[in-house]
Parts: sequence; C-alpha cells; structure tokens
Amino acid sequence: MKCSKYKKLIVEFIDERLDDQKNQEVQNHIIVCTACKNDVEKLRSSMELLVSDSILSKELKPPDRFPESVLDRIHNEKTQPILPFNLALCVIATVCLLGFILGLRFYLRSSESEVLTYQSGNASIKTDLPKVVTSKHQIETKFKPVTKENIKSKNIGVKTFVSSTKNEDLHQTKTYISMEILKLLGPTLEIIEGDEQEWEVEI
Amino acid sequence: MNSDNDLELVRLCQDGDITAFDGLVRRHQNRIYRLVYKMLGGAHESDDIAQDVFLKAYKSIKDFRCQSSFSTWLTQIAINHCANHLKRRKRFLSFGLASKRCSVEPQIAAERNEKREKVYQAVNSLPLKQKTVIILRYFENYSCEEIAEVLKCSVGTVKSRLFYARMELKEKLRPLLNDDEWTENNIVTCDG
Repeated sequence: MKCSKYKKLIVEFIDERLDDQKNQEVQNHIIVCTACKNDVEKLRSSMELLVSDSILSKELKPPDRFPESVLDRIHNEKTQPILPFNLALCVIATVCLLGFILGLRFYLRSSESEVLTYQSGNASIKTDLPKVVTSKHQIETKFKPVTKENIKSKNIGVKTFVSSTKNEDLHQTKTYISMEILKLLGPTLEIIEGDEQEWEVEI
Repeated sequence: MNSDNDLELVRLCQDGDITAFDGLVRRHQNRIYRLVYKMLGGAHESDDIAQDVFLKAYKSIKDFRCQSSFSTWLTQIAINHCANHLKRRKRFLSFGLASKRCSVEPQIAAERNEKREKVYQAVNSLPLKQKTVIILRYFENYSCEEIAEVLKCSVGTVKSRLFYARMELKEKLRPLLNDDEWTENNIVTCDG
C-alpha cells in the first residue's frame, strides 16, 4: 500500500478507530516510513492540543437561567399578535409596487444614458434600438403603425406621443415616449420618415 | 444521555406539553451552548443564538419524526443556524474572545495560555465545513458516523474533511509543535 493510502487512515489511526487489521497495517507502515511516522506524530500532537482544550471547554456552560429564557421567548412569541393576513398582503403589495417603480426609474435612467440618435427626414428621436428596418415595405409587413388608435388599444397611455412637430420639446417628448414604449412593448422602434404618424413599433 | 427519555419528552412536547420541552432544554443546553459558542468563536451572541436553536426546535418539533435521535436533530439545527448566522455576519470571531456574559469566562480565561489561544485561532480560521467537523469530532467527541448523520453527508466525506482539516491544522499549529524539520516535503514526497 502506498503512503497516500495510509494517509487516509492516519486520522482514524490517531483516533484509535481503525479495526485491528488496518490498525496493524498502519503501525507496520510507520515503522518503515519516516515521513508517515512524522505525520502521525505531528497530527497526534496537534490533536492532543485540541483534545486538551475540549476537556477544558466542557466547563463552558450557559447562563444560569438559560432554560427559563428559552421558555420566556416561546411564551412571548405565542402572545405576540400575528399580523392580519390582509394587512400582511397589503404590506407585501406595497413593497412590491415601490420596488417596481424604483426599479423602473432606475432602468429608464440607465437606458437614457446609453441612447443613440437616429435621424430621418425632419424628425429625430433618440433610441437605444438597433436600426434594423430599412424600407417602409418591410416595416408594414413586420410592424403595425403606431397611431393614436393603436396606442389607445394597447392601453399604454401615451397621449402626448402624437404631438405638434412645432413643439420645441418634441424631441425630448419623443425620446421619453419611445423609451417607455420600448419598456412596455418590446424590442424595436424605428422612424421611417419625419412624420411622427409613421412611427412604428413592434406589437 | 438516554435517547429514550428524549423521545418520551419529545412525544409529550408534540402533544403540547411545554414542561416537557423545558426538560429537553435542560438536558441539552450545555452541549448546544458549547457547540454554538465554538461555532461562533466565543462570540457574545452565543446566548441568543443558543436560545434561537431551541426556539427553532420547539417550533418544528411537530415535524420531528424520530427517524434520528433528538440529539442529532437538535445538533443539525444548531449547526445550520450557526452557519447561517456566520454567513449573515460574514465574520469569524476569534475563538478565545472572552465574553462577559458567559458565567465561567473568568475561570476559563485564567486558564488560557498561548498554546490554547493558537489552537483556537487555528480552528477558527478553518473553512466552515472543516471547522464544523473538527468541533464535532474533538470538542463534542462525535464519531465520524454521527457527524455524517448530523451533516447529512457520507462518512467518507466526513473523513475527507477531517483529514484536510487536520492537515491544515497541522500547518497552522506547526510553530507550537517545536519541530523545524517538519516540512511540507514530508507530506508530499512520501508516496512510493
């Protein structure tokens, strides 16, 4: 048997937990193998340190009134009013809603920092979308136009989407809305021409 | 400790007899407190965490099916609770830290010497899984089979963890063992 196999037995050998046969095998081996003998001696020494400490550690005891403290806590938990189920549900719902709102705000902000600007015709929009649509024909077969009706039917509440092209804030407005649509509806929003009526979104 | 008595108390407790649980606490408090104390490195939270262990046991005692001994089951709860606590706090306090809240601390502290402090530090610096088997094996005198039952792993795994833990301890405690010739080479070159 190689030393590596004896090494696996050393732990139990030191603990005197080997059966007689294996115990004898290890004993015979350490007579002829200085390295393993050293390992046994050193491990035994370190274990003796542990064992001596474990004897002292038996003196460790919990405080005098430990059982009473445990029972007090049990009684306290029993008498503690339990949060009504409905109230608990409201709390959970509120927390989830707040989390969602905060998460959305964080996401929108982080998206805004990465937008790219595409321009087409006399309108422009900032979006982080890849420009994948190249012709109106492709768009019509793949997308539905974003008209007021479509937007309303999708209940995404973007009344300000179709706004006056003379509005100086149009660019900003569009940017914001396009991001919102992106979050709500999905991956692609493109401008075909300058007129916002021709904006299309994947539905 | 008679496990039959434990089971009798457990059954009474499962029937709602809280005084039976008091009996269980009194029978196991020393062992569990010691285990928690060692697992947490003598941290001052030992009292509270040991109480938590019994509280958890009380809450789930109806689920205890007596498939293992109560002692093993309670130890499992203690180990898991300590592990979770340590992960939560992400800190491993030194074993030898004295706690004013422990009734025998002054005596123990007085008996401590440098060697013991080193042993504490060495054990405390082990990875959690190794530390757990060392504490159960040497401080609580569990057999490998009992440790395997508590940790729900194979005896081979326990032996393996013990082996590596001891090898690690051997290195950490080398300065205490007064042997300059004892080197890493002894470990890696003796095959053959």
